[in-house]
Amino acid sequence: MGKAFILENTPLSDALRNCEQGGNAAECLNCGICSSRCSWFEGQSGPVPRKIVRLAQLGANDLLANSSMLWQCMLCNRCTEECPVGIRMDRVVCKARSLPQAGSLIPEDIKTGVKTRLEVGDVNGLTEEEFVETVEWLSEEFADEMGDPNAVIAYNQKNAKFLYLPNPRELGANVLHLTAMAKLFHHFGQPWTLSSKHTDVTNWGYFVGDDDVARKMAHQVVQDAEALGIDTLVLSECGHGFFVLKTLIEELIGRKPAFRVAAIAQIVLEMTENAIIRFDPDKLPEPAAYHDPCNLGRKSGVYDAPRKLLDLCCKQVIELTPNRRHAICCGGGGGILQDSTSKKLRMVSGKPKADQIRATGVKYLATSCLSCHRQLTELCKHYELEVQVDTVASLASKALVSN
Amino acid sequence: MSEFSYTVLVLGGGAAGLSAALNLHEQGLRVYLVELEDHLGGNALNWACMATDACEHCGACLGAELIDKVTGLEHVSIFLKTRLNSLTKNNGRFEASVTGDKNLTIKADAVVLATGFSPFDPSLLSSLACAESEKIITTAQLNQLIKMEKLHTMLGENASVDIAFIQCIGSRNRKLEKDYCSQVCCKISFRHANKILHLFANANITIYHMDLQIIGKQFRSFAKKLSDRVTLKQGVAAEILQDRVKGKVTIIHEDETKDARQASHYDMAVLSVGLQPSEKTAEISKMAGIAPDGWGFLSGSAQNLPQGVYTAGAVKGPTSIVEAIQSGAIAASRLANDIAASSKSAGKMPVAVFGGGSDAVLVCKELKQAGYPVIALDSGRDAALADSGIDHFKDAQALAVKGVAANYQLDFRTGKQIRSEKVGAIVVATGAAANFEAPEGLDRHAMSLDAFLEMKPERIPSSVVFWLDRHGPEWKDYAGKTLEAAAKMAGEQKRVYVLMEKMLVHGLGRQKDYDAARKKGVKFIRVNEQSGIELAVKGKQVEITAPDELLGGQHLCFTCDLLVIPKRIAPAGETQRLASILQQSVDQEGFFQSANTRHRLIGSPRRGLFFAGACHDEIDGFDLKEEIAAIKAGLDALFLNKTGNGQPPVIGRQTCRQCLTCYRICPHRAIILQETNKPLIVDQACFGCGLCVASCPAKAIGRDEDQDEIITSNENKAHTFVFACQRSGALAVKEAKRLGLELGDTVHIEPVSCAGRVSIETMLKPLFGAAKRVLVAGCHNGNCRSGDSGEHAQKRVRFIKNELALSLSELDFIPVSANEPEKLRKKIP
Ligand code: SF4
Ligand code: SF4
Ligand code: SF4
Ligand code: SF4
Repeated sequence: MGKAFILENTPLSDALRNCEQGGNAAECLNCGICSSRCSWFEGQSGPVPRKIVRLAQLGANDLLANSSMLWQCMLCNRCTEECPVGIRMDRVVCKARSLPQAGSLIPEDIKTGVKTRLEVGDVNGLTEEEFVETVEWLSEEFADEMGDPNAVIAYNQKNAKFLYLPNPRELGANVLHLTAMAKLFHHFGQPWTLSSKHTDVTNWGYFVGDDDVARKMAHQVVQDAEALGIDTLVLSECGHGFFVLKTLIEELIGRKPAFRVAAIAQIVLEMTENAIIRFDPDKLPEPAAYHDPCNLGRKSGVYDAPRKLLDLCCKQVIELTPNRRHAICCGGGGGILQDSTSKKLRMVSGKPKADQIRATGVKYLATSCLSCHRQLTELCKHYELEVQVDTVASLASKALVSN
Repeated sequence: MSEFSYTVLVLGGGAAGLSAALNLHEQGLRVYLVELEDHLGGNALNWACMATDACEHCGACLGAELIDKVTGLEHVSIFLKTRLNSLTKNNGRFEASVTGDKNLTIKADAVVLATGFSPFDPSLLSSLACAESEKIITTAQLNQLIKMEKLHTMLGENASVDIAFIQCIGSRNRKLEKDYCSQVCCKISFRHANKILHLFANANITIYHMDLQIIGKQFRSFAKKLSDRVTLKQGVAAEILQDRVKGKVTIIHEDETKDARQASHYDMAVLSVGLQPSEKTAEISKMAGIAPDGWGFLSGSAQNLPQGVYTAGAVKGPTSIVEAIQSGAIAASRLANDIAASSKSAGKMPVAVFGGGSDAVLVCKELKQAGYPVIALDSGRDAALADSGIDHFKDAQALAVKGVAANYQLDFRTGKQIRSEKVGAIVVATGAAANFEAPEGLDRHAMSLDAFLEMKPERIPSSVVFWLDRHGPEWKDYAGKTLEAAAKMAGEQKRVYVLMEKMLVHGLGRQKDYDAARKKGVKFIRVNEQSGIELAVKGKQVEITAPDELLGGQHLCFTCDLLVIPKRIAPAGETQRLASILQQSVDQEGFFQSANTRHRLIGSPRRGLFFAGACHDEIDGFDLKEEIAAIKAGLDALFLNKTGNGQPPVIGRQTCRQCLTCYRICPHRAIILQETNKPLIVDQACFGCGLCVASCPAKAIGRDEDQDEIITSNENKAHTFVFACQRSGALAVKEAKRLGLELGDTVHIEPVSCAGRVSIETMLKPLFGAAKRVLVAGCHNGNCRSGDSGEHAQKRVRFIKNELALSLSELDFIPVSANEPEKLRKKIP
């Protein structure tokens, strides 16, 4: 075996030792449970979760920082869901990704994305002017489509009930999704708005494990939302965005934001339950299966809302097994999807998911994260599954009954 | 107090409850035994016999034997399928309201809680919940399959089956609030693996473990024997996949050769489930006024129990069957002593204690306290006894031990003098030899763990490496002390490393100590090959380079100011000599140990001869206290019990030719020579096996009036005549009946005291009558209570077959245990 590395306490091992909430790698029993549960299953690449924790436990910074395991981990936490001492893999991996030595491993796209987001406020570099231009154009189209001049997509409106935080793709490659969401908001019958300051639900600071960056990005969102005086921040369907802005937010910024945070699917469900909107499931007669985004489900505990909503919109909902806490990652988590060079790898990491989808025999698949959505679509194509993938909220928009 | 007027309520009819009931009854107490299930024996009864060509000492058959002993005792009332509704105390007496066939109120002076354990239910581990396949079973279910001989039906005959065992399911898991090691599961899986390899010669067995707990001397040699026949894999699976390969289940595990995971497929996956308190424990302990520990066990010490309440067995924490039986006996003895405290010391016989170390000191102290006059023989090897102020013979050396229990004559030298003393019993507590040798060139950098623990805190340097397993698997006591010391040091911001093959977490609380040590930053490095460790002196420090098995052999390098190494433990110098004087065997490693599980943990085949401490077993301070308590129970039983363990035969005065065959052959050394050189069977020492009866060439030995001889007349003209040992074959027949397994009406079962009792003539007689077939159903080798008595019967069978050319179907010996009913049934056509 290779040469010895020196075993001392290092800032990493110390940090992980003193990190109470699930990141205490020092406590690892090396039981190996995590290695039996990695979302990559027996796929040829991918991390060996126990080894990641072992290296962190020993403080082996250099070995860890040089390991391809770091950026192949999808931060999905499927492995540590049954960890007997409560370690959470994403904590350990993110800390390790943030090591200075590991800087060279960060995928170029992610590096650029982080930089652009910090500078411009949008990960794709959409400027405020461009934002305004796009939204105004969309708003007009929307009013036409709805046949209602009051149907507007507003921005920077103060004291609105809802502030919608879209995924950057909704202002680029996938504007139809934004229109679909607008349709839902319009039917809620309450003031809602976008903000031109922060146009983006994502937070890649989390991917690179840099707490300062993640905090800055989260701050942008919180400060602007508070300035607008809104009631509820509604997050677009984005797993890691929800995880950071809802689940981690207090820990990250050290206080409670002055508004409520919810996922769009949760809000739509709420409106349905309050009988403000309703659906016609006959519009979606085929059985659909639900894929739990790891960040929304396992990492944030939101399992039921999307399922309930789907159940109201579709004739029949089917479960993938395993699901919920034990759901298999789509194969695109943890920043892999955001790395444009990763396509080949993603088809390996996603194979267990593809196998699972094939085993159910469904034709429709719904999820509640646009990243999962993209990865699942590509998977189905790659593995020739003939399955159509959609998001829960956009299905809701389709099944919506106009009053 | 008159006999059987004091009443005790025993809750739970498993191994511990039965043992308590039996011992209480022997002490002259009245017992009400209440059991929730429809049968006695608890979990032990469902456990399968693990014997292969010989007994593997699992103890499962002892449960059935206890049931047999307790059932029918005049002053033990048994209530099956009976639930405890309430337990109250009025004027110092307990009142229990129970519901069985009808509602009853039982009044008792004391209560023994022996509610045992339940196997962990793996569906509580949600990732396993969806794995509902008959190919995924628990160790408890595997026991049933083996006991009912269904494994071949399930896996097919002669197949080369692939079987995975997964350890620690429901153990060592803080998230499940079970952060304790269940202590017995590694042993159980190893025995199961051994058994399966016996049943399926081509089986491939893989044991997935997180850190094997090879605790204790006996298991150590067993694991060594088995290690090249099974594959051990580090890492336990919490998920089992189905339908990957047809007819198989799949486990994902690490690929040891590279940074990747791989899949392996198995015909069966066995979940080695942990032990948890039985369902009713919480409710019952509340009624009895006891607070369970955080896991629900009643692990608190006996002193803290409410007056009149006692605990026994697995309700106190995970335990083996043999330990549970010992625990029941201890509870009974404590109880009996508590109620008779002062009156007992009069008339107690002196007990000889061999040994001069700390084990002997504790034994002497406790026996004295219990009212036994002690004769301590100190060879002078250790200083502890000499320093303790206890009266003892200095520089003492045993020369001969004559006589039998309650009547031993002990000849010994003390200094230049030769003395002879009469003692009722003997306790050997000679300890073990412990030696420290620093690694070459490191005399100034290394010290023994014992020396380290004595060190003044201010002198302890700032970085220490504890090096375990240097001389083979570490003794659990040293492992435990290391964990405590390491955690303490790390808490003081010192740099601490532990170098080990396995980190033993013996005992209920040890896992927590281990968890705490890691949390505080102690670094544990796992090394499989001691030869891979390199040491170098670097100035004032030692530099260690070691391959870490947890990183595929990656070499780790670290330094310390001090290397701390436990001493090497070996049998004490005098062991061999003492063993031959006591006519006892030693184990593979040269320590005292009763070869047979029926006499363990502290007894021997020789009544009144006990072992305590490191001379015979790997123990820690807690175990030693338990051992001494059990010895006290054993002494009580010895001196109370007037008739010994069986019905002793007598030697005919006229017919005996004084060939002394019986004297030589008695496995319990129960025959003494009188002055005229006539042999005499001493009732108190005799186990009633009857080997002497069957072996006496002059046929001079028999029951008193020859009226109780073995029946061979075969009145009902059965085709198959079975001589069945009362501890194995006959009990297996009973169990078969309980389970509704039909033996057929052409079978005659004749219970015998021991297979060794069946002489050549006895075997042949039924064949001269109507029987077509004679079977001797005796214990597995190594399980016969009377040493090799059963093997004598096997020799006779072989002899007759060779001489008379009988075929297997006409005469055979069937090795069987009490919990092999189906095996016995299948052997009887
Ligand atoms: S499951 Fe937890 S304790 Fe076990 S090896 Fe993985 S991180 Fe360590
Ligand atoms: S990919 Fe998911 S399951 Fe695998 S190591 Fe990373 S967090 Fe764990
Ligand atoms: S004979 Fe008894 S102790 Fe021996 S292996 Fe069988 S059941 Fe266990
Ligand atoms: S051989 Fe058996 S029966 Fe005979 S004296 Fe010894 S113990 Fe008793």
